[in-house]
Amino acid sequence: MKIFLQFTVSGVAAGSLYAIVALGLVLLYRGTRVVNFAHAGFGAIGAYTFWNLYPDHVPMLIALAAAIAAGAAAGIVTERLVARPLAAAPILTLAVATLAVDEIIRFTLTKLCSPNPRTVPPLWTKPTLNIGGVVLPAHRLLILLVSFGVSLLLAAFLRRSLFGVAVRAAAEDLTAVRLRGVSGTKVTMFTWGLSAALSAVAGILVAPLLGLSPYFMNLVLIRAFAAALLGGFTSLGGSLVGGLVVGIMESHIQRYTTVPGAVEAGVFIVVVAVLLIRPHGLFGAKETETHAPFQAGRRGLRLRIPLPALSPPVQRVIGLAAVAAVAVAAFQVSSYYAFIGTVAIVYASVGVSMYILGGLSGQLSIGHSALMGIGGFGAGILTQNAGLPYGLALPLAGIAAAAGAVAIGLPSFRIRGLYLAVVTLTFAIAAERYIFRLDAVAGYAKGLDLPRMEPHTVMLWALAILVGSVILAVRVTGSKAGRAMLVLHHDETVAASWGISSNHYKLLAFGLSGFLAGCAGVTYATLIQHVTSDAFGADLSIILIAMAIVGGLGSIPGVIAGSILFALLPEFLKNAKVWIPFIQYSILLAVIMLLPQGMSQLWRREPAVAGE
Amino acid sequence: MTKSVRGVSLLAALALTLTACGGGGSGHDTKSAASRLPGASDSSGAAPAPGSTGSTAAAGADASAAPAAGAAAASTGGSSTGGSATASGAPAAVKASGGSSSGGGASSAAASGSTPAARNAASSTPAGGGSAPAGKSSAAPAPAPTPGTPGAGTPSAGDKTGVTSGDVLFGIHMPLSGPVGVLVGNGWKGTDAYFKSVNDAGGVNGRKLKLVVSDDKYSAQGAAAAIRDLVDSKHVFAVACPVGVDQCSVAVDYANSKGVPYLSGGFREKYLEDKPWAFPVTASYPYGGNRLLDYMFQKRGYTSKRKIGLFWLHSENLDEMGGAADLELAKLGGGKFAVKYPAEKDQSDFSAAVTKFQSAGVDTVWLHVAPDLSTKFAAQAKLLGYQPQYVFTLPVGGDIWAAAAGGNLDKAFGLAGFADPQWSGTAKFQEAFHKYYPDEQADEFNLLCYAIGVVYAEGLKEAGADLGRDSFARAMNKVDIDTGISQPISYTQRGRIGGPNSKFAVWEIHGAKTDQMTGFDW
Repeated sequence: MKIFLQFTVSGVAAGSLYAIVALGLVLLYRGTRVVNFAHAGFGAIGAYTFWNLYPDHVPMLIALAAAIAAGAAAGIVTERLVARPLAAAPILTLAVATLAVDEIIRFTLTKLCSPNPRTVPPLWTKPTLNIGGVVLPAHRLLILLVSFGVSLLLAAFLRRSLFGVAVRAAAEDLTAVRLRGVSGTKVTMFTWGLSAALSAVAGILVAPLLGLSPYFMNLVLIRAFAAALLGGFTSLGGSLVGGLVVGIMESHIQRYTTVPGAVEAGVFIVVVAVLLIRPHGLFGAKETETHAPFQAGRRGLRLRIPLPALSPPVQRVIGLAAVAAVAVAAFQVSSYYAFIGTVAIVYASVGVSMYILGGLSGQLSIGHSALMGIGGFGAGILTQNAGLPYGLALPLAGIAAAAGAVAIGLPSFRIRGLYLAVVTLTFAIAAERYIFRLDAVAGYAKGLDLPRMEPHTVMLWALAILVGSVILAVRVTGSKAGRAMLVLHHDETVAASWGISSNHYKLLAFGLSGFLAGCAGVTYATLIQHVTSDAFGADLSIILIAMAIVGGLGSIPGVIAGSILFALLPEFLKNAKVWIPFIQYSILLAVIMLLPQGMSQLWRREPAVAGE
Repeated sequence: MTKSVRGVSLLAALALTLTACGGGGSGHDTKSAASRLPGASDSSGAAPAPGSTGSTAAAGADASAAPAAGAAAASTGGSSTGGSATASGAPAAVKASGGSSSGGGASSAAASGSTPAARNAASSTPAGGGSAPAGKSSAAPAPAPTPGTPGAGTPSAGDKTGVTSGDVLFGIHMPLSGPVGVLVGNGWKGTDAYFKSVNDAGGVNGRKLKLVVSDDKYSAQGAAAAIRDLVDSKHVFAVACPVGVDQCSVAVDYANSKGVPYLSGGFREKYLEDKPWAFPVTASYPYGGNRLLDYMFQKRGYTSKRKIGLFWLHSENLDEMGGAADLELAKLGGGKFAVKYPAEKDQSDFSAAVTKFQSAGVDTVWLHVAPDLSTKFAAQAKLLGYQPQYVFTLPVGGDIWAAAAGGNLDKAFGLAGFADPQWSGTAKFQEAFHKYYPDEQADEFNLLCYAIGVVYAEGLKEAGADLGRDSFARAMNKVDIDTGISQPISYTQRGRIGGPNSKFAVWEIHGAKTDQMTGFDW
């Protein structure tokens, strides 16, 4: 019993960590409907400020004030320069923009400070809570108390003060807030500043446990997302409960097994189970749908490339000529450039698959790395273990990925929008950490070999898949199914009133998207040759969605352009060495700011959701 | 409908093109790359894994040439740090090795087990005999290098890619970009400093050593691209991967299939069994782990009464160490590990892990993780009032770990295959590095890359003037060298992965600093 209690208390300790980070995420989402990936970066700024001042240079309170001010300032600057210009942009566009901000912050800290972790002392060492031998360290207790205290104070502020009510209302209707005489701009800026200040506090408190490094808060962020999801993205108390549930669950899973990935698989199962019963989390309220996920927002740059209007046959001829040119070029370049080119083509195919799911049907997914992985590992198993020829294994692996996609799509019957997106992300993490490491897949240690091919050959396979993907996507877009998906994208209620079966078309979109992503994953794995679960990590999912957003998720040429930009940019920036990610994400941010609807708006005649 | 047919036709046409290009299937795969390597034979006798000395057919043949060379080298390893045996006068003391009169005839080279394939035959891999492992396709796309067949006269030098009469081009891939690039991206300057010192002294066999570096972005995809960049675009002679075992795993596979010599940091043993072109400069993790246990039981008074827990970074390449350690611990009479905990590289909270160790009564925690993880574990353990004895296995010294932990790892001890730049015995390295990079502070990665340069140059020297990849690989199999800044590095019959008789340096953490307690003689 004592051991059970100690693991529970350890879980509470871990959960308090997730809760305090989740609080800031929830506050910002509640006030602005922004999913902020830069939250960890704000926390790191606060932590570095505090721990560089205290205890060597200034008293604790002064260091605390400076750190909170630094964190808040980072939040306000981000709001002013990034979030405000993108205020009307789709939820994922803003999320990707904050991802770029986070990368820029972390890299700057890496250059200014050091990438090496540094140990900082706990703020409270005594007395440690010890009841019957069950121990909760004082510093953990402090985090727990601060989490509770902050959530109570915030709840009171949001309920009782006029400004607090304005913060809550701002997410629903900024005009109504303005009519009440409160500046909508100020409310939004305040919410960003407060959320970032909270992140700074979290960073200061978490640093003694994790060691201070530019990346230390990011490690907690994913669990914090899961906590916020469980509790409900609109509930402060819910994030607290969600954090504790995740922490306790994690602790007890580890008590019984140290199988890698078991915790991630457990988190995924619990999150899905809870959301199927309560689609807005344990304590979250149903949200007003302010706009469709990929609805066109601010126009941004007025520049438009004056492409001549071409008839469909001419477009096809040009397309075929381009494909033929790439196929010929595949054998004219070195294997290195064939490799880089193949990566670009693979990304483009996945981009097209995301177009079908997100651009057409409006379903949010950040789990495409898992679908690629099912394809890649599936082909490895089918060729190496079952001895099937590659040409047969490829479509079969695609079908397996389609089945996986349909399985992830099932929760979409009840879970929507952001919640669905984070569910797919937790699936991607569980797939990387658990499913792909099963002995029946790549194995815990050994990885999996794919048939050996020269990059030139893989490039042709990838090209064939891209051509097939584009043909399929164009056909679907122009079909009855595609039109049904578009209606679904804009409004499920309208779709239902027209007799469109939402669930049927959602699953169709997931299945088609999964098939294409799976086939692309086969060529990706073949290119790398020896693949382990790391090759299909959740970070790949985030890059994939970023590529699609930058290109324009509602446009086939857009997603292809975004993918090619992402794949080739590091090549052009080669000489920048350590600065490559910094420059890459700065360009990404600039593109999003200038072209909020994606690169496709450069040549698109009418702002559209999909179906060019 | 017509449009659909046209689309399908296009796909079919592309598919046919692909099939004609030879990419259409794995079933027709015939030979492993290893079977086409220098000295490949059809022998496929079951042999012990590398690491079990002198009991294989090939090793047995070698024993007739120089039966005690390996043992002798091992017994004296680490005692010499200077010497001027290399052309450049670099700090490399070459020791006698089995049958290694320079150049070596075909018979001695092959019979001594010193060709890649002979070493391959000596390993326990099923691929050693020249056939691919069941269910594993590895059709090498390039023609095989000319083998040095036993009794066939002077073997050819083999592929001369990257070699001219005046220079020889070496490639390194490592993380240059991003945060990891900030941390390790200057490591290649260690190799560069060594090359410059060699070139200033006239080069090796009249050739200057040239270096190109490619960014592997610390990812599998990046490594797969980088190795192709170096091999197929830059046309280097040989490649090194000093950092990132997961990246090295991807790249060594390609290099091996192309017959490109590949020097690297640590690996798991089994992965290299069918990769005779690989020349790791550190002992394998399983070997290093077992020596740590030996040290604890033989020198630190550990008995079966102690409860040891293993906390290691879960990686595709590190868990092999845990399995080997189980066997070694049982052999030493230490029973079983009380707790084995695989940590994820981005794991943040270790409350449950600490509780697991604590509740199992573990008094010694063996850490084999990156500095950020050991920092987190030790800090969180201390808060829970848990302060066990920490022990380490690390390829390089311990200052990064000690500094990051800020005193929480005080009194930890461990074994290292490479010196820390601050330790004594690194003077020659420091001198060379600061001569060519006067404004930079030498770090662990510079030192590791410097050692790679030393080993590579030694192989070039042994290969002689007629340099090709085959002659270089054969020469590397004779290398048995004390770099002075690392454990003795040998590819003779002592084993191909840094040598199963490799010696280590013992070190201890005192506060936030690491002190070297012994030379590389344990």
